[in-house]
Amino acid sequence: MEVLRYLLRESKTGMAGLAIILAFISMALLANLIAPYDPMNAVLGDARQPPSPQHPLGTDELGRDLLSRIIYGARTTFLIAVSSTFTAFAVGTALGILSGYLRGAVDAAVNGGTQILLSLPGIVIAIIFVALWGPSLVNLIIAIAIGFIPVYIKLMRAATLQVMSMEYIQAAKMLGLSNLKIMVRHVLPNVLPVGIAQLSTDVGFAILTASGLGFLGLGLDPSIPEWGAMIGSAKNYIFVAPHIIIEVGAVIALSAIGFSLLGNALRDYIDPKRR
Amino acid sequence: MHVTHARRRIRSGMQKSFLAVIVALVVVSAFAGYFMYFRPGGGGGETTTTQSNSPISTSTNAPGTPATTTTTTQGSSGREKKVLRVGIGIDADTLFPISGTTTTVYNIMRLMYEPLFRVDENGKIRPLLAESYNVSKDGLVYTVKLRKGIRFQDGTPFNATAVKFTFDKIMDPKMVCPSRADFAALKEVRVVDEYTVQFVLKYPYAPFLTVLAGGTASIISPTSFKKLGDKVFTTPYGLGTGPYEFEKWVRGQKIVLKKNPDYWGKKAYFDEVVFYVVPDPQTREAKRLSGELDMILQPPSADIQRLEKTKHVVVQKVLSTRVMFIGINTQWGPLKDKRVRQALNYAVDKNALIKDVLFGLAGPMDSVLPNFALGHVKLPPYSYNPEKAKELLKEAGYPNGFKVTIYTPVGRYLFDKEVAQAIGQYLRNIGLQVEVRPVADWPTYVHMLLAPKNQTKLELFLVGWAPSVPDPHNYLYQRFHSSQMPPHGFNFVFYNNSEVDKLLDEGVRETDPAVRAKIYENVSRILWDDAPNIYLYLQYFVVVHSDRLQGVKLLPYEMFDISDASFKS
Repeated sequence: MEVLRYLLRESKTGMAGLAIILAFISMALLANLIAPYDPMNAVLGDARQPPSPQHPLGTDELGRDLLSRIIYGARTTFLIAVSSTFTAFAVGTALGILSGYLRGAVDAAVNGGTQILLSLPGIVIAIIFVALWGPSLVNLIIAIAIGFIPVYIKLMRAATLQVMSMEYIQAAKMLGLSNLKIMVRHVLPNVLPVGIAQLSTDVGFAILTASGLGFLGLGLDPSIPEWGAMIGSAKNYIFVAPHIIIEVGAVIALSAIGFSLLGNALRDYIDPKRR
Repeated sequence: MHVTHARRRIRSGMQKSFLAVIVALVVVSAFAGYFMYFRPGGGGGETTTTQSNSPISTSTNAPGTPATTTTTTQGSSGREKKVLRVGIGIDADTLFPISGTTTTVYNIMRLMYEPLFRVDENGKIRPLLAESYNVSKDGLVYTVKLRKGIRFQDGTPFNATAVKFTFDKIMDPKMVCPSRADFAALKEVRVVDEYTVQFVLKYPYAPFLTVLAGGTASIISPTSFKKLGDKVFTTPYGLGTGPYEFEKWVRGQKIVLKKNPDYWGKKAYFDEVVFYVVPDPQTREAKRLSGELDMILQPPSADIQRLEKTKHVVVQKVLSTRVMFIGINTQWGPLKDKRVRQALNYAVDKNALIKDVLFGLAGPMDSVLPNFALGHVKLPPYSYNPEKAKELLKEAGYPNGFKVTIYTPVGRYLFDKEVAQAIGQYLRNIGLQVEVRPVADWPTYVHMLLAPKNQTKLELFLVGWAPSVPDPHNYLYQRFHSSQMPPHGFNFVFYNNSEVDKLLDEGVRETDPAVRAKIYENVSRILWDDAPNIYLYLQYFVVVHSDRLQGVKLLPYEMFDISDASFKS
């Protein structure tokens, strides 16, 4: 609530981001109510139609209604993007706190792994993963998540180190609390906001990564609407039916911008200098 | 601390304005796109197309391509030099016919080398370097009379010794010859006299004459072969008898052939034929439109209808030898039932697929064999009839359909992924639950196709088949004979029918073409009715050239013929 109040009062761009995201999310949730057509129903005779009263955004390369595909596509796209960033957030936070709290061998090991992951671009890791284990929703989510983990480890480790110098941690240690209790009760709540700000920016990036994989043909059943795969298929028709790639591209850009705006506002909100 | 704080503010401010710029860009480009596209007259119209493409082509001018846009240049003799510039998608792997692998490259080699026979545009086998031939009654000895008075480009006389030399090289295990399996039936080549050779086979093998008409069986000059050594693969000077001879190969850029002044047949019209390597189809198209190339192979498929309407551009297409179909695993669940397989054939509207998904770049299959193959017979079509399909499903005990997966490669065939999705929809329309699984990596896909029966994951899958020898045996034997189930062959539909086996065994031994044709007609009838495939279409082979160029002929096996071609003056 306090966040909302802050956004309303201080950050117009943050509000805009939130509005965009909420609009997309409600679109995804209400897809079956608002989509005018079955997004998978290919009517070949209607292929590549420009926008018209029957099809407000036109039809795609197989005569499927583009508006319906974009609406339903939000489901798959957001599911992939949100689950993968949350997975990365969870794993990265756990490892980051562990390594920052325990230091020593654990820290060295986690740091080594992070460096290796960081040396490869996320999309490359995702490509290797999907190529090895095949495209399925779960694999796609894990593949994208792996690429995002190192950021959270670095972030959380640094935050933990900062928290560790605080007196209340020293006090807890002196009281003889177990390491686990200290990490969960005292470190985690204090480092979480940093991660959350990062999280909302990353959802936007995850949408782009998923799009990239779909574009490369490493995605799911292409009949299932997913924005990345849709843009990948549309590229062959760029001269014949440019409306497909323009519309899907605009939607992807808009959603990524929405998450990015919100992320920036949250970062400003959490910034301790503000308080 | 204060400094970092300020910096953070600045950074976040910068990010905001950056985002604003992105938003603006997206919105503007979207509007621009819409405007261009919906403007009356259309941005996709022909005149704008040509204009907007020419700047692209000049900016993508690769090294090695000519900067001039004129076709004819003044030769040293003062006479105009006629140069034909052809754009191809891939560089050659080798220019030595015995080692060839790729149709595009055989299009180049076809001008330099000649085999004893050649298959014409109607699928008839015609003597080329041969004069006549006869086959012994048992089908084991092919006696070929050679044409007299022909010389290789290096001056060596063409005779029976050169023919034997060539086939000895093909059979020499030390020589690289990826198509050697086509010659597996050949035991030896005998020189009877200067202009007569005998091919002795190990067993009767009816497609043998077609094998002799293939590019691999091009006759080479023993003299040049010995002189060139390893250079036969890259700089085959004077090695063939063809109307053009090798001049220069700049790797990754171009292959230059020049006129053979002493050619035995109709003299070449062009002084030079240059093949430019332009991998990207869009760039190839742009270079053709700007006049940098006279002719291109395989333009971007989605643009062909637009090109057909463009001025000064001629689009030529011919049904190729590649048959496309959905393989049906005849040993899997509901697909074991012939009625279900027939239902699938009735459920798919092949004509709509061709018109709306393939941009008209295919012709429907009216039989198991393509129309130019021996034994082709027009069969009652599986016309689009979803009601009949549903009825057949009900009869077979699947009134509510069943769950099935369609596998498809990505980018291997024309619009493969799109075709698979469209077929998925047609099957959903008759009540099936369909998942389409694209397999982006081609070797992985082949591996899946060749998995043995107890390991296969296949249910329905999109495949094409273009045999190196366009003979009915090569179309059907490996795909439908029960001995050819993976891993032994390509019967990946696991089709098992003793009658078909028997007919296919007869077909490969029979040497009388009329009898053979009957055999393959019968096989076709059985296979058509039994429906181990959803029979789809034949892809077109497409060439785009300038309207200055005339007389270019296309052949079904993805080849073009320029022996009658010339520039309009």
